[in-house]
Amino acid sequence: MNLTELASPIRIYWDIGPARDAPVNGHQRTAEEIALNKILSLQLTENAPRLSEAVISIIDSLAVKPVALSLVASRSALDASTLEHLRLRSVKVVFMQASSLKDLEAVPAVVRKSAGRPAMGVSFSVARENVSDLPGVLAFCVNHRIEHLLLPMQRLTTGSGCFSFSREERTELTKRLSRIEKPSGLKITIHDPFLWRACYPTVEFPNGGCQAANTMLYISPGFDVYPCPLLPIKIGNLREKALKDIIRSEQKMRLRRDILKRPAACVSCGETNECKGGCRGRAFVMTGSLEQPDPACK
Amino acid sequence: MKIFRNPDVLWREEDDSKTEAYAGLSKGENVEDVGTSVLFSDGVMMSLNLLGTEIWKHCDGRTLDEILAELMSRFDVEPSVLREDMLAFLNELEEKGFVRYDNS
Repeated sequence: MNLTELASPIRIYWDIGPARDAPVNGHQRTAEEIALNKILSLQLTENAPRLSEAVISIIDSLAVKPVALSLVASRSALDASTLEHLRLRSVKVVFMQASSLKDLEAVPAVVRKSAGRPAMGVSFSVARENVSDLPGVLAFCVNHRIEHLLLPMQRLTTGSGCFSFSREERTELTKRLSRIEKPSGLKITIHDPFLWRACYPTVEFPNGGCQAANTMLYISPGFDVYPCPLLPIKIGNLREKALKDIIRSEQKMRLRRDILKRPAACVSCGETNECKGGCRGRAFVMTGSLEQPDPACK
Repeated sequence: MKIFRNPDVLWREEDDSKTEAYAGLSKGENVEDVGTSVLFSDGVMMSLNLLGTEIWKHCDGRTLDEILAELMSRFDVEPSVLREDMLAFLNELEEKGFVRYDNS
């Protein structure tokens, strides 16, 4: 077994969209495929005022399977009865979406409703317009004893703008973040190697380089499968192919080998062992090539 | 001292690799380097070979001696060697937070 080219991913990120285009029982069937392929962790994300039947059916299908479930949802979707349902279905962590400091105001009430199960967290989508809020978000989580802070991966497969910040901006952010003491009880999940460095300047990025098409895969609302939410190279669609066939496809394996190649410009860089070439998705989106360094490195 | 797996660690056995390891074992080959399971926690990944996987699977509140007795019946190894290897391996897992020792 090679840990850089696993036979099957460990975690899947799945965004759920409006059901009108979904195949009949498509969500439930895909959930069953996820369990069959021994995927260990599934993170569902839905941007809707209420949890859809699709999300509920996925969660119900996987309730007794060995898949660690987490959910990213809007504040309004997380009412008391929904939280109770998620608790009964053993959802491990529920993240409330936030994109500004103001959004956080509703968090304590939702945390009280959950009473610790499922564990509650904040999902803060970092973008150029709110990156300066990050120290405030961290301070909020510390002050309110929030157990989980997720800085989710951008969804570049949808064609949205790509977040990137310069070395100077990162240095400034690092300074501001360093003033906040992070308690051991706060688990911060960061996928961006440069955001990681701003938050933990002395700790090596734990993922060991880009995990697209290795430990992770991403399923879009339209059932397209990508190596990662940040890397808009489609490797299949679950309406047309079984998940197992996409995972074992030559296309996926070839792409993984391409991702593993360190960009030529990074080879002589002293930091490359730490950043491993940075985010390959951002490099692809901003330069059009997997062979270029992550522009956030500059 | 009881040994427990950390329930937050995600893990699975890899079927193809396991088949490969058992096939090698039956031919008398050294399969020490064949990973048959993967452990994953907070972005840290670890591969375990056949023996490591069996030790890991037995970390359900059993003591070192209980695990040793169980594995001695399945693996052709000197008890003292296995004990030493197990201890080193479990200490590594404990350092990574993958298992915990309970002295109560």
